[in-house]
Formats: sequence, structure tokens, C-alpha cells
Amino acid sequence: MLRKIMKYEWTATARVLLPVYAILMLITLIGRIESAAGVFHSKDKLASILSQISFSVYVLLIMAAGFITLIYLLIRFYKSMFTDEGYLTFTLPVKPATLLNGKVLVAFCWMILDMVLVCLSIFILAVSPKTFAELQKGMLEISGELAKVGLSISELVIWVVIFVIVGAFSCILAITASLSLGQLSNKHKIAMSVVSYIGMSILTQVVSTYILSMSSFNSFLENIEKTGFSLPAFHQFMYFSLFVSILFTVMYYLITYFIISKKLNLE
Amino acid sequence: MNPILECRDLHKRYGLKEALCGINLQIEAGHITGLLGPNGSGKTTLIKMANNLLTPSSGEILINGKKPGTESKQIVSYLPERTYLASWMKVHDIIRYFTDFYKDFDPTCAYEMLRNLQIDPDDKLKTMSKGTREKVQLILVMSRHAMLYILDEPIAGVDPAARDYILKTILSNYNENAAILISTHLISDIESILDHVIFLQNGTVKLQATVDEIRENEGRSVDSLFREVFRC
Repeated sequence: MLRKIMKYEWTATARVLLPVYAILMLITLIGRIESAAGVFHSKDKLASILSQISFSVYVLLIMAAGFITLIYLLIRFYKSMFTDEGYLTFTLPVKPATLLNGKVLVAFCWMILDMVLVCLSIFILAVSPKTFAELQKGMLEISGELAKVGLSISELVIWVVIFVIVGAFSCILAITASLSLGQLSNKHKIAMSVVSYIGMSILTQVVSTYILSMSSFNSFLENIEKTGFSLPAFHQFMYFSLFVSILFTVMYYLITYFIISKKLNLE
Repeated sequence: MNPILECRDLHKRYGLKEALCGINLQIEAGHITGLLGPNGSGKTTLIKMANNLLTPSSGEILINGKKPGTESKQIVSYLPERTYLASWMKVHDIIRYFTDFYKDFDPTCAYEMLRNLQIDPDDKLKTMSKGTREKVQLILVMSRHAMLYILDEPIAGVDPAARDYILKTILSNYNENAAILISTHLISDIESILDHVIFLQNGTVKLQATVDEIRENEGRSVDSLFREVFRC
């Protein structure tokens, strides 16, 4: 059933999101052709204005792609679960957990796809024959610096990947949890969702600051200032941050699950 | 054998307001039951609880002896009183969706009914009139070989000619092991197909009888009895 839920969730979201990404990639290609034609370095006034405009449009578009992805996933979740469409969604012979997992996994894929495409797009625009040599040189420099404190570049990459994955789930589930909390209200569902989201963000901040203060986070920062980077302190800090993020993500999941399985309140 | 739908001292409160106050009833297979009552009497609340869209405040509701859940959703075909289909979908897509999720859904049957009501499966829901959308939903719901059909206001928005076709469809599509529960205000239109009636008022069962009993004991139609019982 998870496969079926994901299949339909994918079709429903692709209908809006794929065109957005297609436009992003199209603009990227146009920009690439423009820059290959030397428009950006042209002395002609009109060409330079045009190139500035197209660059601004491009930056806006990259930001918009991420924004639209998030907003559309939010609307889709709300509509399919808590409006009239919820009457069908919740009378399918599917467990609430399967329903939630399917939707969250598809949303996760879209967020990752968005990040990958934005990186790809920037890369396409920026790439030149010299890029690879420069990239290699930069990587060597960074890994040299990291090696001095005993950190390998692959370890750093792994940390980034882990935090991107956990961060994406956390972002999606914070939204599903606040929408679910909001629909408990009989009259002001959307306002309550917003209030829940803000409330949860504050709570998350306060609790994670508290937990991190128990770790050697503060001494880690002090050490960097006084004696420089310390690897054990860095590790402890990363493990603690990861632990806190996962803790909150799981909490958001459980809130959503509990509400859609036990406290459904469709109008 | 378990009754297909059973309520035992079922209560539902919204805040301080009590929508259902101690409903006890049983619906056996092989009957068509009318759930009748004025607006706000608790019909839709009861139906939503049978479909696991609301949870009881106390008491219990059982479908085929079990609490509403994934299993009951496999055997209950539910028509809500609102449009629950995504408007960007085509009728084709929706039929595929139902075929994928409900084992008892019969697409051949659905396409035949669409043809009879002259609805193009390539049309999007968005472009249809409200009445046509309701017809599509009813076709989907009646194309399942379910054990219990729960129809909340199934004919309110459609024209009288389609109404006749739909009632005929309801009668011819369900087998004798299944049960149908219809909630409606339009009693005179569906009276001819009902076996049982349940009158709900302010969250309590006011009357529960067979249509034959009403005709024999009261000597009049369900419609006129309803008008008297619920006189304003």
C-alpha cells in the first residue's frame, strides 16, 4: 500500500512541481547560452542591462523554486488530509501510518530534488574549462587545512549529508505536525496551524539550546577562540546537535501520527 | 452472525454540545435503511463515526463486529455529503485510483454507468457541474461490491431523472448480503426502496421501525409520519 500511496502522491505533486523545475532548467540553459555568446562581457549598454536583468531573474527563480516546493507540499498535505479530499484519503483501506509515511517520503524526495537541481543549475552556469582545476585546487587547500586538526574532507561531507537529510525530514514533519495541531481547532484551523508552528519553533529553540548547553558546546566555542579547534569537542557537538534534531523530528512525527489516527476532526 | 453495523450507547460531544446522546441500533445485512432526521439531528456525525472520520466520545460503534479501521474500510463503501475528489483529476484517473485501492471495485460496472449517464471519462472534475460530480461519486461508490454502503444525502443535488436512474442503480447493484444506509431529507423520493427507517432527533433515536410496520400501524407513508413527528 505504501507503494500505491507514494505513486499517487508523486503524480499529484509532479503535476505542479515538475513544470517549476523545467522552467528553472530552461532559464539555466538560456543563461548558459547567453554567457557562452559573451553577452555578460559585452560593452554594449543594452546587452549589459539585459544580462543584469536575466541574472536577477535567475536568482529570484532559484529562491522561488525552493519556496514553491515547500508551499506546494504544505498545501497538498493540508488539502488531501484536512479538507473535503480528506474524506476520501481517510476512507481508503490504508493505515494512517502508511498514509503519513508515503506523503512524507515523497515530500522528502522533492526537497532533495530541489536542492540537487539548484546545485546543478549553478554548476551549469558557472562551469568553464578552468572550473575543474580550480575546484581541485580548492579541495586540496580545504582538506589540507582540515587535516591539520585531524578532520578528513569525507567526514565533513558525511556530516553535511546527514544534516541535510535530517533537516529535510524535520522541516516536512514540523509542517505536518503544525497543520495537524491546527485542525484540532473547530473554527480557526489555519490560524491555529500558524500559531502551532511558531510555538513549536520557539519550544524547539529553547529546548535545543538547553540540551546543547549541557554538552560541551560552550567550551567548544571557547576553545576555538582560545586554543583553536578541538576534534573531540567538535564530535561531541555534532553528535549532540544530531541527537536534538532527530529527537524533535521524531516528536513531530508522533504528533502528526497521533492526531491523524486518533483525533481526526474533519469538518 | 454479527450485525453489519452496530451502535452501543454511542455518544459524541463537541465541546459542551452533545451531538449524539446514547445511540443504540443494529443494521442487518440484506436491508436498505433510511436514516432520517432534521438538520443537526446527528445523521452525519453518526455516519462519520462509522467511517472512522470521527472517534466516539464514549460507547462504541462496530462494523461487522469490529471497530472502524483499515479492515472496515475494505468492506464499507461511503458516499460523503461533499465532493471529495480532487478537481484536477479526470474520471479515468479516479477510476484507476479506486481500482488500485479497493479490491472490490469493479471498473467495468463504473464505465457502464458513466456511459448510461452520458458522462465522458476523459472529462476533468473541474469542468463538471455540481450535479454531474455527485453522479460520478455515486457511480464510484456503487461500483464497489461492498458489504455496507453508507450514502449521505446521495440524491440531494441531482435532477429527478437522474435520481430515478440512481435509485434503480442502488437497487440493482447491491447483493442480498449487503446493507445500505441512506441518510436524506428527500423521504418521498426514496421511500419506495426503503425496508427500515431510523428517525433521529437531537442525537437520539426517536423511532426505529420497518416501513411495513409504519404503513400498517400508522396507516400512512413514512413521509407524512416524518412531517408529523418533526413538526416545527
